[in-house]
Amino acid sequence: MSSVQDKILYSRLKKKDRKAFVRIYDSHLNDIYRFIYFKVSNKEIAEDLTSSVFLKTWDYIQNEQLKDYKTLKSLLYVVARNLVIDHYRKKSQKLDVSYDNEKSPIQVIDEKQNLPELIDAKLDFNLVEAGLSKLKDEYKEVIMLRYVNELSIGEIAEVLGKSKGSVRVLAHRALNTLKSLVQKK
Amino acid sequence: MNEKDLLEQLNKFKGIKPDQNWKEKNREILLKQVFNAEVENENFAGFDWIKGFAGSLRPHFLSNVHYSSVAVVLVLVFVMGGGVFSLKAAQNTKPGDSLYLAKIATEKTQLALTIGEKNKVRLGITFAGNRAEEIDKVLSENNDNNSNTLNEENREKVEKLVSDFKKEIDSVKTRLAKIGSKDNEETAADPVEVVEEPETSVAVQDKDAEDDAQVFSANLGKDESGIQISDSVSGGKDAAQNDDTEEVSGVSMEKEAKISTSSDEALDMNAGNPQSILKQAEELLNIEDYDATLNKLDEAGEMIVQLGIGQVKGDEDKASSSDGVLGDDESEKASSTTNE
Repeated sequence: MSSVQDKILYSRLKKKDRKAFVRIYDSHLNDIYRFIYFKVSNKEIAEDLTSSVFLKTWDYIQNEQLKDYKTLKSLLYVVARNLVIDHYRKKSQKLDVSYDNEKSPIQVIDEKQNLPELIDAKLDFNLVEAGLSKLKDEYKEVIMLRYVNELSIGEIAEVLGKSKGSVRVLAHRALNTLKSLVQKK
Repeated sequence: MNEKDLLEQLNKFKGIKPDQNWKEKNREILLKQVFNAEVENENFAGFDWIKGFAGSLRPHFLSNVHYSSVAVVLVLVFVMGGGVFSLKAAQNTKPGDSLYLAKIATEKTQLALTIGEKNKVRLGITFAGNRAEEIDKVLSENNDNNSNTLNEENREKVEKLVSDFKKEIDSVKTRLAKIGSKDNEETAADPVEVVEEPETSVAVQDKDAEDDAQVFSANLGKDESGIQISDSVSGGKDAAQNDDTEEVSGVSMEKEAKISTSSDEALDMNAGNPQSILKQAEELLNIEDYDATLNKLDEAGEMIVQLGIGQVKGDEDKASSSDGVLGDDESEKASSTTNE
């Protein structure tokens, strides 16, 4: 979504446009849910927090100016990040990303693949999954934002509150660390 | 696994998606939450600016007070203040204006809340003056419309105002009459002030020892009244000596002069008492000389103040009794007695 479209959408949201709300929900729900799920590793909690992200963002837009954030996307991620932090603060739990604690693991395998390929893919995926779980939170977060949700370096910088340069360095180091972890296996 | 494979594997995490049913249900729930809340908020939207204003005005020492409380206080201030401004605005209205009824209501309330007949009389004269001014305004408005004759609406207004003016004047007259009768009763019931005056002179001249301690004063301690007749004779028995007699006589003479001056003023006022001035005002209104009517009303008001008509009984009354309660005839009598 271009910044112009983003601004138009923002002004429509500010005017309490129902369709604009639906549009922003449909456009960003999956990404926000995934971002939260990576952090909380629980479907129900991820759903609850995702709902809260859209409510909080709506309130923010109605009561504040969007001057601190260049795009609505950045704002959504910042709200999501803060909600996750609040969630862990309340629960006093250690932030631990694990993809094994789900009763129903996520199906990411292409059904068109044949069995050996499926097994290989599953193995590779499990390797990456295991590698991610060993990464420190900062690296996991930047990998998630940069290589899964495909945010730009600028957007990640806004979300994390860092400079573009340090985000670029952080993303590079995170990917190298993950690669080394996966190759060790 | 090279970087490309790693990125491919990472790309597969995009498969992490929320349940489609949840997604749709949640959309509906959020829409209801957001827009129902908006409807509720819109009901109070009119007060948002007050809350905001209250927040911006809230001084630092009230930072612990919730801004809604400040908003409530501000609303009260505006309502009360608005009432005062409305009443001020109503002052210059005439019949037919939206605030004219407020003006009349204010006058009635003012009259009901006023204590003391004198003050009521003064208010009555002010209100009569208001009616005269309103008649003038209605007529000048008629002239502004370049019509030489009064239209039906303005004629009715003027007739009503003339009738109101007469009612005000009648009520003032009634009050003045009431005050006059009261004063007479009081004077008759409490003749000490006047009747004892001649005795004062006699007593001083006789220098009776038993009367030495007596206070012979028509109005003890009220020097400003100008007709204090005599001080206490505290000279003891020696006061009977001739020197003292001359001294006391000297004082007595001085005060006699004061009394006669007061009497003269009272007589001058008698030439045009408030009732007669009010009657003149009525006549002037009948011949449509409104400026002169207002002047006469002012004159009547000033005269009532000067005469101190209607002072309520008490120390204050006594202070003014020399020129108010003490009637014109009585003051004349007092002066003549003292002169003797």
